[in-house]
Amino acid sequence: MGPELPLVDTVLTVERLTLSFAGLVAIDGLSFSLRAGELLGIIGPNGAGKTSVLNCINGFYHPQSGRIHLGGREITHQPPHVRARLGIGRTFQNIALYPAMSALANIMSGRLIHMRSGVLAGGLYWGPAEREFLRHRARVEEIIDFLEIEAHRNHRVAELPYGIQKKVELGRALAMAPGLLLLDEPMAGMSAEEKADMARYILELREVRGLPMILIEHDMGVIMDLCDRLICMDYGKKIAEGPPQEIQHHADVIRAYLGEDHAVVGGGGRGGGEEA
Amino acid sequence: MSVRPAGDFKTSYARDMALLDIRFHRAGFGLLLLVLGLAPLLLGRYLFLLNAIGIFAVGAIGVSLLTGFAGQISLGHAAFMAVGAYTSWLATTRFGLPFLVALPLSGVAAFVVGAVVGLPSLRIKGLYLAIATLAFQFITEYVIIHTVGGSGGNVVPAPRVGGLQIRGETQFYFLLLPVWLIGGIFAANLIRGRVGLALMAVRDRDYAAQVLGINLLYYKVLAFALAAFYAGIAGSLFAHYNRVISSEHFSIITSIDYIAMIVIGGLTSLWGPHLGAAFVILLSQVLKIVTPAVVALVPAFGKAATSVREIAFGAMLIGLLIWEPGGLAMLLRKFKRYLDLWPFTY
Ligand SMILES: Nc1ncnc2c1ncn2[C@@H]1O[C@H](COP(=O)(O)OP(=O)(O)OP(=O)(O)O)[C@@H](O)[C@H]1O
Ligand SMILES: [Mg+2]
Repeated sequence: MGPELPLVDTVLTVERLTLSFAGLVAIDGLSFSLRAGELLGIIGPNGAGKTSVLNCINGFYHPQSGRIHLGGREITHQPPHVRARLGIGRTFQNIALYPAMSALANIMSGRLIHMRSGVLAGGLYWGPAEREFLRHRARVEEIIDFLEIEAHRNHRVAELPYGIQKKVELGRALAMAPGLLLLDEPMAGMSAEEKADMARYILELREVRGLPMILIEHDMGVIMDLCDRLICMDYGKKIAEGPPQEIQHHADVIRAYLGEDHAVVGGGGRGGGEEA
Repeated sequence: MSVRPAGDFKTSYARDMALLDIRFHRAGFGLLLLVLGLAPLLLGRYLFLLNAIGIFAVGAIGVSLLTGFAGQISLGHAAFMAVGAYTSWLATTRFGLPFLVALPLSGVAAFVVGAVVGLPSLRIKGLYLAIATLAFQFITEYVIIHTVGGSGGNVVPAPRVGGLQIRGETQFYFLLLPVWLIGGIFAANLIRGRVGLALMAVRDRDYAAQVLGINLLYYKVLAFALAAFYAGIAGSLFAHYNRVISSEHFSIITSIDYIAMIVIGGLTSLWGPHLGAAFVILLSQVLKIVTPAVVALVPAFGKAATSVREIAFGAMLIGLLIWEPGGLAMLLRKFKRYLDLWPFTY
């Protein structure tokens, strides 16, 4: 089930993407592609433009130039909800759950794109609308099991610990059954144990389901372990691309991070926005 | 979280999703239906209060969907009610349609108007949306005054159902009750299903909702249209109950009353609109009786008397927002919880 992306080798292509805000160039002629089943990492100091790239891919930001293709189909000018329906799921750097709703309802909302019953059927509920809703509910329970958050399912997410909220947000994205998953710092602010859990889920998604993903993360240990390939950005530009071992020792990458910080491991220190 | 009697575990997703999930609730709802059915006997000449409560509860369900669940504010709910009332008046007088056709038609007409009024909600939010809907409220009042309604208002015929002419409070009550019940249950079903989930997602974080594939424009417009539909039905019921309608029945005061109803009743509770409508109608009635008596005793009070209703609701709203934002529905739930635990009040 879920939106099927055509069976092509590249899931996503980004071509010469440029985005600026009132003079500030957030993304500067960025091109890259994502292959089927690949886990691509994007690294770079704070304010390098990583989140902005995801915002362009899922349609929040409108790049001044450049093109984005999803599975052979151009999506550059599609609104966000259409891209979601085409199979792009994402999580946010600053958790963007529905705070007043339960964890279960949050994850259930990921199934909305797959529900068909109309307003009238919904108001009458019994019958087809109910069966449909319960079928989706069963899918959601599978995800809750996968993420090991059974105990939290009926709590309002605003009351849940930060690490659990991050899991719920991943669950909500997974409930969409996406063909491409964008993860913006899924482990930021987590304990070592929670990070290990999250890494395990991401690995399982890649190994078992072959889900293509783009992962932004400041924890270099994690990103070196997980990713097939890395892109390093600085001031909106791609300064390096390649397998993790190569990037780790890339002169420009080290220089970008050394700008203010003195180690690649642990993340950059340059001030930047924390926008969604 | 709810507290349920020991040993009562939910055993399936279907039961978990059920409207009335435990026997206790079912029995309670059955009792409520029984009381509602016997209301004409129980209330006697006070049945008119329940008729008024029912009509406004139907309208308030719409506000609860729009404001409580979809997070959109509207100060034009009385105008939607007017659309329904005048549609029903036109349908039954000019076109000679039976009431049972005019009633849904009023809902549909208001639905369409609501969708149009809801269109700007994609771009404007909060206070600005309130002002835009306020403009719609005033335009509607203006249009009514300068087209259909001269002075004295428009006379609406008593509803005919089949061959039966509906006369008196009791007959009207049995016409209203099924509409009220169906309206309430329909909204409850919507809220626990797909539409409710999408509306709440839009309310809680609209940009995240978009990323989950929710078309904001569609759901905001739908929320307005549904709210207007309920108001339209309430308008039609009101018109045929009151038998005369004028712009004064659908003024900004009524729009504000609706807001008061759902805030007092509970914004995000399915019982909220019903409890709120009951409270507002009953308090208005009590004040109508008490105020002249007080003025007779203390003539100096006379100046404040005209606005005592507004002052009472204003104070009530402020008090609730400070101490119990969940409204009466939440107070009731807490009370029930207290009873469940009594005498161990930990
Ligand atoms: N909506 C916006 N309006 C104005 N400037 C923005 C906006 N979004 C991002 N920027 C700017 O664009 C640049 C890139 O920001 P972005 O959030 O993409 O960086 P990032 O690499 O994700 O950083 P971090 O590691 O801190 O999350 C920053 O200078 C930021 O201030
Ligand atoms: Mg970022």
